[in-house]
Amino acid sequence: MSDTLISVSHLTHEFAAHRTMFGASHATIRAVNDVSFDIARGETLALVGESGCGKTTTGRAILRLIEPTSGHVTFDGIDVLALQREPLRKLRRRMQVVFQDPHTSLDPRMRVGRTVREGIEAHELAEGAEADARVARALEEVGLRASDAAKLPHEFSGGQRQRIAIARALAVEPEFVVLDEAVSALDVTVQAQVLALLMQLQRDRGLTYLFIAHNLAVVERIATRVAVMYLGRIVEIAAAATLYASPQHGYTRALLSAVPVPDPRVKKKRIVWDGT
Amino acid sequence: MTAPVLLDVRDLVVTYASDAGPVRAVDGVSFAVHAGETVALVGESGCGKTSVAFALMRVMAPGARIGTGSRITFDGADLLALDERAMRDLRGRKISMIFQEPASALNPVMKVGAQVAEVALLHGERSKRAAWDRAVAMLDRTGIADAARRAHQYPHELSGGMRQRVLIAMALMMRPALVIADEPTSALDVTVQAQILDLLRDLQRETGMAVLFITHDFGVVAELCSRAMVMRAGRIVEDAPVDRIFHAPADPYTAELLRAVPRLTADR
Repeated sequence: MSDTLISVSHLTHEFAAHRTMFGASHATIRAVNDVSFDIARGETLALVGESGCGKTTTGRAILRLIEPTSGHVTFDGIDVLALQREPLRKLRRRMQVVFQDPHTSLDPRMRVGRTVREGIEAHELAEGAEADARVARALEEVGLRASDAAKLPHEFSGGQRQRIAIARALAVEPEFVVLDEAVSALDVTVQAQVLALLMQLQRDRGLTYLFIAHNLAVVERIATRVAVMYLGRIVEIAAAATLYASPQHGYTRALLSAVPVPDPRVKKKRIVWDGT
Repeated sequence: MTAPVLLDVRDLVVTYASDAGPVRAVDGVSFAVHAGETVALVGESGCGKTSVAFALMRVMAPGARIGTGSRITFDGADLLALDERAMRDLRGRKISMIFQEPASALNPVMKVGAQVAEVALLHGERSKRAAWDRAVAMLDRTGIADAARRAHQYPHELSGGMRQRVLIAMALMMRPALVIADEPTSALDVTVQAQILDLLRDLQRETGMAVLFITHDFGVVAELCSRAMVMRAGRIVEDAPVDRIFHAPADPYTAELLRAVPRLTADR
């Protein structure tokens, strides 16, 4: 169980806050500030926090979709940030991502089958009829039909589009998936179905997830462990059951107390955190 | 409910033109809102809840039409019979609206104080100076610290929560009898959402305004509203006090929605 798949240490990413007309930077903002954590194989680590806290930047730095300013990331013992182009391309098969908005993350003019097939071909996993079969299997695994491969994204609902994005990510048989607000834009009934699908796929394939989200009630359903981020730093990291039952940090408590209760009989005491 | 009926909607139909002929987004909706009441119109995306709001304000998208048999009575007046001039006078003064996206609902090149003051100037205030002072007072009332200075800022200089406060200030400037709030907290972080809900609750108590709260979030409904109307596919499937909606829903769709709502174990 304590077989570490991902290890992040002292990860820092700075953005230029202002630039002069020649591009020199006046001031920097630390979007991610000395962040360290491990993710064990088969677990779901949730990264939660409010907008601008650095959770998405952290996810992108791990995948090297951005180049972090400093720090280390290892994946199955491989130094991710030191990789050259070709070995990085190879590693990308093993780590995939699903983004929040299925309306913008799928190419509107590309047939769904083509979208799912791209990764399979790029990583030379299969070609021809065998690639077709893989596409069909990937679509069926996320609850769609093999015949959906011939359709365009606009023919699907938001929930179905998110299933397509999941099929695309899983078609290359990754071990690790970053789910960046992957269910946030969905209606509650659809959200519950997609969450159940993600958990089923995790059990079936032994997947490891980094689940980036702002909704603490959703996170509680899926997370093994939870890291709470605030202004670029992790303020608390703990097993999900522990964090929800006895949050230690003032910010975590404030965050939990702000979640509205879907029951008019329950009046929750709101905790305000003053930042100290 | 002893308060008089403020808004009465009978058999509201809204259709949109499409290639396949008119589509009914709102399919025969009837409900009433009493003075001072906070009512939720709740449902999933595409159920028609925002189309109801736009019909009440009579701001229609191109190709959208209100059905000929529909009746909307507001404060005794037949809203659908008013001419555009009379409707313009009513909007912002007696009925106002708070939108979801404060970033796009505000004019990016106009100081926020001027945008709030403009509401007063459109509705009878002659003095620009007085309108500005009223705007600053209103911004202050919505919890914007240092409102006199903030009034001189532009929307991009404010946080999302603060921009939403500006929109609330605009909506409440003329002390309307009815405020239609369309997902006003959905784009905000939870801690900011909690502050905005508190603010709306306080302002509602203070002014006695009625609020029609349009949302997909049952947590927000439970926190703020006394009654909820559940919409599905253009129809209201259930209209009941919140306690009944949450604890003894009569409609199977309401029950299904409530089961799907994610909730913290600690809040169960």
